[in-house]
Amino acid sequence: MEDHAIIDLYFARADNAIAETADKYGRYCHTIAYNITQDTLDSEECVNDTYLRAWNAMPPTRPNSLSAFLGRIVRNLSLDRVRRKQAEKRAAEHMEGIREELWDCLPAESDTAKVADDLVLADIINRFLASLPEVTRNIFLRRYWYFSSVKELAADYHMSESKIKMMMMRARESLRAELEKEGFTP
Amino acid sequence: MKRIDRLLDAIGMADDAYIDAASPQNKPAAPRRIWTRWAATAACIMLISALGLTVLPRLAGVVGSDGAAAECAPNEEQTPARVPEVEDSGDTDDGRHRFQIDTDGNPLADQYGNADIYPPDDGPITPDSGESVDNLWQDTREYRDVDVQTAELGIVWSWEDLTPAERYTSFTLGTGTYCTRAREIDAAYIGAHRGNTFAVGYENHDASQERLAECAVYDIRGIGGDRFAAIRIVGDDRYYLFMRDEYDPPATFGEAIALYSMDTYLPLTRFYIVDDDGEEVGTHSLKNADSTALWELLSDAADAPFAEHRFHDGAAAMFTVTSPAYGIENRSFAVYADGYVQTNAFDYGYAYFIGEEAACAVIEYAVTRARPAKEERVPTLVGTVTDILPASDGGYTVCVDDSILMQDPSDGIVFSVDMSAPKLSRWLKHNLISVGDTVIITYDGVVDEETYTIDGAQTVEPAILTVDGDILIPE
Repeated sequence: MEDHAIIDLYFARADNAIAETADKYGRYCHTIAYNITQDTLDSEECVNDTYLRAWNAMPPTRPNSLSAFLGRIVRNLSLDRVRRKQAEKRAAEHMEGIREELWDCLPAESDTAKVADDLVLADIINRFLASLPEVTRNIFLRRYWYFSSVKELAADYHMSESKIKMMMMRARESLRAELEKEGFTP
Repeated sequence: MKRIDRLLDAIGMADDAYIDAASPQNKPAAPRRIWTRWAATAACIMLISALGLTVLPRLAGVVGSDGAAAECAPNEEQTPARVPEVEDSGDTDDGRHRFQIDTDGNPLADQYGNADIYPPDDGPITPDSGESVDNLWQDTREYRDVDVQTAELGIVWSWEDLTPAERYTSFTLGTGTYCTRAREIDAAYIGAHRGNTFAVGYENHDASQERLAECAVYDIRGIGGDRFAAIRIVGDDRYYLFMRDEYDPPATFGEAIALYSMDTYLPLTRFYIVDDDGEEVGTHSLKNADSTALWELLSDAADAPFAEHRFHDGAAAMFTVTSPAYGIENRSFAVYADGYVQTNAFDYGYAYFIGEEAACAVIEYAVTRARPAKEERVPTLVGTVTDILPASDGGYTVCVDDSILMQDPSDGIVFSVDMSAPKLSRWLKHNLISVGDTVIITYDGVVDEETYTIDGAQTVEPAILTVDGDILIPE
C-alpha cells in the first residue's frame, strides 16, 4: 500500500491503519529499535509504542515521509528507553560505543547550553549533512541515526570495516569542526 | 541532558529526505568503481576473473636442479613432510619445473609473458608466446595465518664479506657522480665504453677507510643522457649498475620515454586498478604485445609537460614495473584517470600530465586486455633450519622445513637451499644462522620438484613469525 493511502487510513481512523503500517514498516521500525536497544523485548515495546504515537499524531500531522516519520518516533522512543536503562547502570554496550564515538564532537554540557538550543543544533547538523558526499552522508546516518553496526555497513556498502571506521572518523572530525565554527568550542 | 544525548537528538532531527535515502530498506548501490566508466570492459574482466579461478592456483615451470646439492632429510623430530600432490606432470623443455609459493602459500608464478630480462636490443619486444597453462604445478597445501617479519640485526659486514656490487658505492666520471644500484647487470645491456675512472667504497662505512678500484665505465644500451652507467672493475668480468644521482626530469613525457627507452625497458605487463574510492581491485597481467601497444598509446602524449611530483588518490591503473636495465624491481608506473602518469622508476617521482583522454585510453586498453594474475611477490621460503651441510664447492646447503607454516605440519616440505654465494654463506660463516633458527629466504622462484632443491637463493635472513601478535617458536 502506498504511504499516502496508509496516512489516509489514519485520518479516517480506520481499524487497519496500524496493521498496514506494521505490514510495511514493522521490520524497518524493529531494526531501528533493536539497533539502539539491542533487546528484542524492548524493541517490540518501542515499535508498539511507535504505532500508538503515530495513531495519536495523525491527524493532525500529515508527514511528508511516513518512513522518516515512523523512524524518528521509534528512534526517539528507543533512545529514551536506553537512557532510562543507562540511568540504572544497565546501558547497552552497543550504544555506549556509538556514544563514545560522538563524544568528542561536542564540548562540555555547560558550554553547549550557553550557546545554542536544540533547533540551532539540528540546523547545524542538517547543514553538515548537506555538505557530506552522498555515500558518506548515508553511512553517517546509518550509523548515528539508524545505529547500524559497522559490520552491517561494511556489508551493505561493499567496503571494509576499517574503511567505514575511517570514513566515520573523518565525518566526526568534520562535524566537530562545524560545531566549533558555530560556537560550540570546547 | 548530557551533551552526547543532545547531539544524538539533534542528529535525530535530520531532514526526512536524508533519513529516507539512508534507510536500511534502500539497499545501497554498489560503490562506484573505476570501470563504471568502462562498463563494456568490466564484463570482460568479470569473465576473465571467473576463468582465472581455474588457472591461477597453478604454477609454471622452467628451471630446476640437477640434484648436485646435498639432500636434506625430513626433520625426524617433526612429523615427516610429505610430497604435495602433483596435478600435472608439468614437464618443460628441460624436464624441470618452476615451483613458486609465497609465505601465504599463494602461487607466485606469472605465466603471462613477464620476461625476466626485457630485450635490450633495438629489436621488437618479444611478443608473448601465449603459452599454454598446462605445464603447471599446483600447491594444494593449507597454510596457517602467520605473519612473517625479518629480524632487525643491523649487521655491518666486513669488507671481505661484501659482494663486489656492495663494496663500491660511487664513482665520478667527467662532471657526473654516479651511485650504485648494488646489483650486477647483464652484459647484454652494456653499450659503448665511456671512459675509465675509480670506483669508491668505504670499509665499515668509515670515510677514513676509503677503497678505490680502477674500473671501465660503459653506457647502458638505449639509455641516453648519461643517466645510467655500468662499470667493470679491473680483474672482474662482471658489470655493476650505477645511476646518476640527480633530480633532472626531462621536460616532456616524450623526452623521458626516449631518454630512458621506457617503451623498451619498462614493460607494462602487470597492473592493478585503484577505483575512485581508493580501493585496489584485483591484479592483472598483460602480454608483452599489450605493453607495446600501451607504450604506443602513451607515446601519443609525447608533448605532455612535466608536472611536479604529487600524490594522488584517484582512480588509476597502477603498473608494477621491474627493469634490470634500471636495476629496479616492483616499482610503480601509475596512469591516473585524471590525466597524470607518474613513476618512481628512477627513484625520484616523475610525473607528466598527458590529459584525461589519453590516460583513460591507456587504462581502458589495459582493462580490456587484462588477464587475472595473483599479486606479485618475491618468491619466498620461510621455515626452520633443520640442518647445515657442507657442500662440495666449499659452500653450504641449508635444510629448511616449512612445516611451521602449515595448518597440518605433516604437509611441510624440507627444502635444500644452496648457500654457496658469498652474500648467503657469510650468514653461516659468522654463525648468524644456526640449526633451529627461523629464516626467510628469497629466491628466483625455481625449485626442483623431486628433491625440493633451491639453487637460486638470493637473500637469507633470520625471521620472526607471529600468530595474532604472539611469536611463533618452532617446536
